[in-house]
Amino acid sequence: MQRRTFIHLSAYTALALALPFTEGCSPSPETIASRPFLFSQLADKKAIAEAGAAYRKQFPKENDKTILSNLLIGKNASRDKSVIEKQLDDHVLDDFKTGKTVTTAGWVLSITEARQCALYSILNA
Amino acid sequence: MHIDARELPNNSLIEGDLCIIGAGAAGISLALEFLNMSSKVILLEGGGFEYESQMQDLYKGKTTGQRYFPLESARLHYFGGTTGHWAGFCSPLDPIDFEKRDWIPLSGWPIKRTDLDPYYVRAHKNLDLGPYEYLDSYWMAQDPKIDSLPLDHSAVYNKMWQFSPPTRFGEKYKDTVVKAPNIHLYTYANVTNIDANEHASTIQQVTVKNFAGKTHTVKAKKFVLACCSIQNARLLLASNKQAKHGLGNDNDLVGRHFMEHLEIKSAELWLTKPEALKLYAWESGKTKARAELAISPEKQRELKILNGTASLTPLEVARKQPAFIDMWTADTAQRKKNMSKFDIAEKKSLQESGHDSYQLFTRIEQAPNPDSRITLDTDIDALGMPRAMLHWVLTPLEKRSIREIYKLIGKELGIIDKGRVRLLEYLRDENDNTWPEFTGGGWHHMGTTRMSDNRKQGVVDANCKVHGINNLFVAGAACYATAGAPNPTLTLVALTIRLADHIKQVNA
Repeated sequence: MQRRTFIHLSAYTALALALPFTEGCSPSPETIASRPFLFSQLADKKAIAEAGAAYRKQFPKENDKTILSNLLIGKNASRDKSVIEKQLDDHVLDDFKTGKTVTTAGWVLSITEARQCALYSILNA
Repeated sequence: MHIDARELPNNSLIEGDLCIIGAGAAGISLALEFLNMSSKVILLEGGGFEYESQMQDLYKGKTTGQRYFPLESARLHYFGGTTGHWAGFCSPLDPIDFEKRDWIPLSGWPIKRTDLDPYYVRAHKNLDLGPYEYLDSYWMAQDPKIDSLPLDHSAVYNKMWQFSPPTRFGEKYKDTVVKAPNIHLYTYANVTNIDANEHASTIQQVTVKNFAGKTHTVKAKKFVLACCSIQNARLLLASNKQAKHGLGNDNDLVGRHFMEHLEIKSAELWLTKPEALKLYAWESGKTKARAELAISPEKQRELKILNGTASLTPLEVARKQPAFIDMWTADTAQRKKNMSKFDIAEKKSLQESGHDSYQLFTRIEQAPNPDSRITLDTDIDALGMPRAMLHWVLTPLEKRSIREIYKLIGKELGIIDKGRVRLLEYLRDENDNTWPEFTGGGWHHMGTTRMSDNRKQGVVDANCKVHGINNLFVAGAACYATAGAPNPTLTLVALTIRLADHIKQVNA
């Protein structure tokens, strides 16, 4: 599956379209980690930020950019975008298989993608 | 044969072997089982062959507790009964529904699903259903174009429903009943009292009344109450000459444990690409079978939840449909408008090739609850009977079960990497046990004379005989010990046919 733009538009979400995620020249590992792949095909930026904010409220100990980044990609993360994306996508799938899910802002998400949303909401506050 | 009880001389005495009170799905199914036999069957119907507002008024009653439909809207008072407006949804209860589940108070039937299987087969004929096949693989093999979600069936599986045309019992079986020499159908014969012997251990006769001012007496060897869960309880409670608290009510159980299927929009399913998911689609009058997402018995045990299912409706359609609880109003024009909105939205959705978002709509049993009950009002109806009152009560278990169902579906959808589930607002706070305004039922009334081998926990025994009364039986969903997820008609007809076999066996 091709990684799509960060926004999936639906006539029914009635959420305002902001700018899609732009890649920039070389996004930081943190920025890459803040993009939940599958979820970003269903939800727009606002919804992702809301889910992220809700997660941070539920888990205040993780309400920190560095902590979230470390939880997602570790301290010595590869800077290779495709490696980080693949690693996170695998984690998301593993989370669902092992029951590591969380309900945040109503969404049933993997713990990894919920953290990605949380990181996104901090980076784009 | 057919007799209009209004035309009989006042104070007539009617006698037979078996008296069936009520001519709906249960009463007619029971009568059909005695067709052309030597037994003289008296079939009593309060109304006539058509809808009449004067008859319908007898079903009015107050409701308290959880918001509910006006009672007169949920049942029909004429020959054929409520089949006159049912939608035809049929599916058998699951084996787990009959089991004792330690996380559900008062769960467990004194019979098993295997006891009912042969009767489900026979009930299929009454309801004009297809083969007794409820595996998704059977129905998917009928049409290779049918697609579904490839979920792990050990967690979430496709529970199949079949659709009756729907069979209107009043239309379909009128001629058969009227022409049967041994079935004596009396219309405009409202039973207003049941008389027992001094010790309330044997029923001797029932009193019938009508708007022509006539009162008659019916005597029989055996009596079967088949006039719906609310009316059955009302009649037993109101028949208090020989038993102060009503017949069969020594343990204060008649009318209690009223159950509905909680039917409520609960979540949204968002897919990464549009899919038709035809296995879950339904078109009135055309679809023969469809699936709802159901939770495996293993997961129900693990999560300690009630049995419920989720149907899928394209989100843009669902958002245009009024909530069930708001659809019925006393204003006929508004009612038609509401129904029409519902139908138009549904038809439009079928023209689309696929959808990327669906509403997940729950149909779930409620836990048997003694506080959820039918009682008698001090207000009386036009024939002098105390009106029924409903106090409908839900418990936190229903809400937690719904929440857990969608968390599980969300998890399983994540595993197949096809999309995500979003719970509706009212399910998000795990400490909130309130219900939103759009909470409704399925117009399904069950449990008011529940079945149990223990007379302290049930009104009828495994054969639907009222405990302590040797010739009084109950046919219908009032006997359900628990409600399962499926609409009740198929099971109540199966249970009625089983009752017919039991009565024949006892007679022999």
